[in-house]
Amino acid sequence: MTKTTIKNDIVEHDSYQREPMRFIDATTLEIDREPSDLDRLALEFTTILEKYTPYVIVSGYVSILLGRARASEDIDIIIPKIPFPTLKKLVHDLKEKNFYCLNEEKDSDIFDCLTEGLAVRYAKQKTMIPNIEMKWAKNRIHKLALQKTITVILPQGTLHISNLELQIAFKEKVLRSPKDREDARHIQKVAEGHLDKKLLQHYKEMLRDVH
Amino acid sequence: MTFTKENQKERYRFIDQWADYVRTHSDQDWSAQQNVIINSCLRTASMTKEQYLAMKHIEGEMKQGKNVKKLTQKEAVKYLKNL
Repeated sequence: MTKTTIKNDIVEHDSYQREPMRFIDATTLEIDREPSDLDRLALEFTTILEKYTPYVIVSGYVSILLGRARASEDIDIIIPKIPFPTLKKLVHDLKEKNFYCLNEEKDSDIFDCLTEGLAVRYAKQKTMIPNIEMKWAKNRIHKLALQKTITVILPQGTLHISNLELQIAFKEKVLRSPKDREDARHIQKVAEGHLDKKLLQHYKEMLRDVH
Repeated sequence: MTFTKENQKERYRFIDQWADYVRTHSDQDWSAQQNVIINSCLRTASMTKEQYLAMKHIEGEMKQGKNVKKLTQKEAVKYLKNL
């Protein structure tokens, strides 16, 4: 698929021989992207996380993964409520893989934090940025995001992101900052022809009531 | 048209142009360009844990529409340094 040539010892890949991102079906997307520091963190963290719980990535990183020209210092992840023994194993596993929690240290405090509906942040040891902001699903929208995910196949692994219609509607109707509206516009443009317009409209109406 | 509106219009124009580029070029092509922004932003950011958490706290309060005392840039730097 890729044509590679060597000119003056510089390896050049012929961009036009490669394909842009592929929407395989409503739940699968393949992106042959060069990994960024954010992608590496997301893949490393979720490889551990998915051993203990389903998860969904939401918000800014979704649009960045799909090519939006901006950075973010964190990746937002929602997980269902998990019992303390499972969380303890997860925390232990993360620690073994060189992750630490920015806001709490003890397992029980991390659990309490999540129980109170707050987010916990995880980063690699000796760093703070980028980090993962993880919280429990606490409302209908979070649960919906967890139910309807898209699997993104990257060369280095897979990630589960929220369905795009929900992301667009949430950013346009609930968050509504200039940055969020721009994220929504980007997703809408790159996924043009692959979005369920009726579903998008349904989410917009649903979230208008919520807001 | 106000400056803000004109600026927003220009930003939208670029977003559309870039999204079109992403749709029509290989993933390797656009992601290499995008990674220049992502990786350089992340690698130049420098804050202590306390400063970062304070910043996120203030951001959260403001998002919820709570009354957070508006600090001048000088005051904010002083506030963060004293943490």
